[in-house]
Amino acid sequence: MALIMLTLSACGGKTEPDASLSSIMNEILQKCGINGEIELETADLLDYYGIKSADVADMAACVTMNGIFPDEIIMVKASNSDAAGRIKKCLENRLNEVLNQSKNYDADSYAVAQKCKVDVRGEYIALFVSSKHENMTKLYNAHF
Amino acid sequence: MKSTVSFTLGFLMLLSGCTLDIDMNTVPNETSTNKSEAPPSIVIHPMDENGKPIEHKPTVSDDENTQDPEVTDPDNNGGETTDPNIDGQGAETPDPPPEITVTYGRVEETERCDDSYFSDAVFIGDSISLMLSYYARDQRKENPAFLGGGQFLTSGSFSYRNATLPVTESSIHPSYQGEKMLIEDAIALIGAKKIYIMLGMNDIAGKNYSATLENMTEIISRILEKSSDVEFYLESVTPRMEDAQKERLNNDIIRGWNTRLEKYCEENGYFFLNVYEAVSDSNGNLKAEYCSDPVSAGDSCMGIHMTYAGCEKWVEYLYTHAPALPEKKG
Repeated sequence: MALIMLTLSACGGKTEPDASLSSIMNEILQKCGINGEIELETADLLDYYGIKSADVADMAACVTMNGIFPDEIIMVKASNSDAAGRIKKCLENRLNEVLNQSKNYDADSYAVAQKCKVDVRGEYIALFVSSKHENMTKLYNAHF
Repeated sequence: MKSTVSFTLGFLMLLSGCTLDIDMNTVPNETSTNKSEAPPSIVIHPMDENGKPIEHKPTVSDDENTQDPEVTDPDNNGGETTDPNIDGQGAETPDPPPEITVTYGRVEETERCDDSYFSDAVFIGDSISLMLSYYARDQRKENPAFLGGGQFLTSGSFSYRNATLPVTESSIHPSYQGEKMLIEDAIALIGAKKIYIMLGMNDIAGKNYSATLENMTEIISRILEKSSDVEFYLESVTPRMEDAQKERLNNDIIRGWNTRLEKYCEENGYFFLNVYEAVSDSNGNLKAEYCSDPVSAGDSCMGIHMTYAGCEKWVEYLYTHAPALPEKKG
């Protein structure tokens, strides 16, 4: 039991963040020095990611269009565990698209894309596609 | 040589793969005021497999004495014409429909169309058009009818070549309603009638023109197989910024492609939209204020993607290069 507690503590252990997703996104944008982002809304997720609005309880997402490897931040709280599974699949598909696309451009971008991953914590699913994904993930994790 | 097809609203029929044309020899000239002359004779022109006229420029007069003999009043069991001019009984005649001349090839500036022009449009493209989709999405918050609510089928690094490949986990195709699919299938599902395509940036590096033309032809054929009643608006590839010129892909190569694309449109009966000219500076480079990824901003920047200001210019070009089309029947 103590080991489990220790493990949870080491990982943060919470499945609810201590801040809203939108405030986490703003913090990530600010601390990672990302400008010119295009903010996405729940209704946009279907067109761009295949995520249905009914599956979304809360979300914060944005993209930039500033290079071969645009920044992409998607954080979603699913409406339930089944929805979480579907959203995870959608974001994995999106990451796969990014991999395919970056593969066509240059090895550096492809290498970055290979390090990006879909993060699942209970009903919270996140994807950070960026050359700054490590820092983004760290900032996100700090809220759990 | 431009393929020119003239239509008069309400006077053109499509009959079993043929165009129906009115013989102008029987039609009085513009100055005629005689309302009771006989209807014109009909000439049938063959159409090719794509539904385009073959070596013919059908011209239909807007003369009010001409009329489509197939137009009947559904309440008239005899199928007799309802045009009062035909039997000489006509009292007041409504103004003749305006002549609509459709000229394929390069589209010259037109009067600004309204949003509804794009209500049956779909916009297909790569990451450059992806930005346009974001721009349209934001504009639609204020004006839901912006660009007619037309759909977007875009994907980063999408190309004519990619479009020919089957859909697999690793393939690059746009998604519609969250499902990755072939564009011909997506267009059929959407039911679009105006097909705007801006592809080529990811095809033409190294002057890969011939293969790109072949792939484009293949895609257009596939679209027509599933959606025969459509018009194609092929958009030029847009320029790179001055400092983003590369040996394998620079503005000379882009212009070389656009020249071929324009000729292709003329020869095959498609509209050519030279968006390049709308967003370029006096030297033919992408204007700095229209570029969201100038090379000066970082190593990964390509000098090709648009800012919202660039998208605004691009969209305005579409609104002011909107050729009138004849109403489709039936």
